[in-house]
Amino acid sequence: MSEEQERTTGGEGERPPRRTPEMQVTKSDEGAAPEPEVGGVASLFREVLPDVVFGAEQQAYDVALTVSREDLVRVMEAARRDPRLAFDYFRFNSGVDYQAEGLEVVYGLYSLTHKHSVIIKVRVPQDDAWVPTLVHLWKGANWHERETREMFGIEFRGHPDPRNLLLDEDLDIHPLRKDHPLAEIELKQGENVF
Amino acid sequence: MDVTKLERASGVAVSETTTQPEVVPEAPPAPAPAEPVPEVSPEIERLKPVELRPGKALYRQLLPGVIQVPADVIIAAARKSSLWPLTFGLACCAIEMIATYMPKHDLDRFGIVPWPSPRQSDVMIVAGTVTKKMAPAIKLLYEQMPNPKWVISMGACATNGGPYTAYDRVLQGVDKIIPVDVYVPGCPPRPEALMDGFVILQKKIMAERGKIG
Amino acid sequence: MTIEREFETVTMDINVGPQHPATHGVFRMVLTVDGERVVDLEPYIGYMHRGGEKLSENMDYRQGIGYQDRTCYLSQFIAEHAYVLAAERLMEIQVPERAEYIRVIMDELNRVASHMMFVGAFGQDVGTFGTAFGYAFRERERIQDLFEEVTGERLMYSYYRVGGVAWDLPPGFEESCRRVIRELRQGIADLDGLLTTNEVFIERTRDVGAIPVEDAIEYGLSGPMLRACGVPFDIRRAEPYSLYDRFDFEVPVGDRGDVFDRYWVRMQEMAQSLRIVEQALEQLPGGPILAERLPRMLRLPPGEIYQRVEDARGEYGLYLVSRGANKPYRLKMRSPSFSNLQALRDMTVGHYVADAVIILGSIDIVLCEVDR
Repeated sequence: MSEEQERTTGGEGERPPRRTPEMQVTKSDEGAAPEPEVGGVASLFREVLPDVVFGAEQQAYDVALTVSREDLVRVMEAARRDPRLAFDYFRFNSGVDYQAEGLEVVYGLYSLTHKHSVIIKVRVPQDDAWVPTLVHLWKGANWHERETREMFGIEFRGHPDPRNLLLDEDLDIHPLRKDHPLAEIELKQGENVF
Repeated sequence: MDVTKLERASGVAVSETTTQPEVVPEAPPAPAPAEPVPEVSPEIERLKPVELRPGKALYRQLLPGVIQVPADVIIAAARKSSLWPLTFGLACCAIEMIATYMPKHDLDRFGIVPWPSPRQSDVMIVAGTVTKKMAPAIKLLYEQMPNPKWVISMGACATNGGPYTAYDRVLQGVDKIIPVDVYVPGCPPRPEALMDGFVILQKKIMAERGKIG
Repeated sequence: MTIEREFETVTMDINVGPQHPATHGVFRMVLTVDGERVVDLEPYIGYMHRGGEKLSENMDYRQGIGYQDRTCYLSQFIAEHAYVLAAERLMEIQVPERAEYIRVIMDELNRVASHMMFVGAFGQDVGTFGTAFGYAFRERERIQDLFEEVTGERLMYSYYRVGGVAWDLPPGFEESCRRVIRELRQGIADLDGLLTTNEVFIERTRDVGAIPVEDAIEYGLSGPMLRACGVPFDIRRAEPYSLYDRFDFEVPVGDRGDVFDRYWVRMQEMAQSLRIVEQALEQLPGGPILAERLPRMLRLPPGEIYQRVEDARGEYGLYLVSRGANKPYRLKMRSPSFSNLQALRDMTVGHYVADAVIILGSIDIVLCEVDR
């Protein structure tokens, strides 16, 4: 693999099917759940929203749910407001660039009342990269969404303040996309700096 | 004997049998002969005309004990002895920079006092990664400092980008925007290394004394 | 917030930063003030955005440890711990017990060192000038000397490895560690006497910058910021990682969520951390310090993990996506300061300009962690 390829791709090969992880989660009732039917939080979500299709998988600590973009706001509103779920603590929001397979937006939520956590993932295509904003549900989502927007070029529709956060204000690059190259090592002094 | 020692040490009144020949206060006799000397005599001595000897510099004969040095040496020595760096931490190196100012390493003994305003400082320590977003601010700060001014590039990031050099929002060395006098290597440099950087800068100030206005 | 006033005044914008002695790094905020009152605040970050995430995706797992140090430069060991734990959980490596104990000792001493830095800088903000800083750094130097003894470095340790730690503790570590703990207890008492019961300090910090519990949770505040509001949320307790379920320690909480409570919680946490270190030293077993049969080039099986640890500032999380390569496909760093800083506007509006500085100081931001 040439250096340039290695820089831009990072990973290699297709994504193989997910292995069955060892269940060492902190919640005991999730411990024995087999792969196809993930218990705990996933079943809670299915109970609250019976008409939404969830893809569920067990990660080392959390249950990861995959939802479609159209269902995202409904799922998140239920996660925030429904007393059985009550995810009041917004952990993080970020993106993953799967190149041809699209961009993934990842949300990490935790409930301080029920002491359970969940990861929610949404896959969007590269050329139509937008998801609805969640700032009206969690104030803490504000900066996270701004960061994801500038880093991955994912539009958060309805965001109250969609400016650049970490990059310069007039810059329109998405550094965390895999096709964004690393810098060449400059050798000259004082030329073409800005 | 032991008893008396103990008594003295403990501050209890010493018994009369103890002999103390040396402790008797004999201080007054010594200054006594010095006092009767009339106070006008040194004045008279000084007012006497000096015998000028040809071949020797006049000021040395008139003012013995005065050292003659070029003005730039005096100015450079004054400058190097009170370097005031701008307190200006960028990243991780700032922690080591603070540690250098703090009691254990104590930069004050070099006459180096951190100063929060660029208008009164002489040295800028660039302690940390310089990003392209931050670079205009650093350049402005440098321009706000009055001449003469020096820059210490502390750590790998300020010198060439360090571990972050391959990211395109990072400036690959602060010397691309401002002139650097001393590069201190390390990630981060130890406080001793920063102190060494200051000593090198002081030597440099002395060596370049003629060039700096 | 309504402000009673006698005169009609004109609001004024004040720019603070990115170079300002009170912003703890390259943080910039624009204060809109009405007289002495702050009526609006706009934070600007990103002056230290240097691509730690992007670069970690281009480094193998062993090299990536160094970026964790530099991201979280006040609690380096804890950040390293998150990184190696994530890799270990994905690879299903069983870490030797001695290594885990060493990690816990290092983590907790690191927490004390980080809080010492906070107390010093915060004392400076409040107005003790160099005094608190001097005392705090005296204690920090003791811990750093100990770390240097163990790792050979003063700040960027890179001591943890996937599967254990790099090398064993030096001979005589236990004695020097116990001595440092004794000295630290005295040092904490000194700082306590200097600040906690100081009337000026209390006047300056009580009921300043308070944030309601609901807002604090919604903003995703964590660590001492959240615990000052009375929520006993500590990852070491809530979702125990490493060996934290074996130790007896308390999670100190405040009640008003103001600046003083944040300071007080941190002071109490230092004592609790020292308790954990003592227990860990008691229980420290012998044995290997690195897991056996580790490959020379680590390749993680495909999978995703969100590994969180309790940083000195709150919840430090790593969302690691592996696709089977020798480097992470994606590494998201969820830094506590980033979320904590979002609440700055809500905490500051309505207070005096002079209080804006100590409210910012009470967040204990690390800008490398905010901007990554």
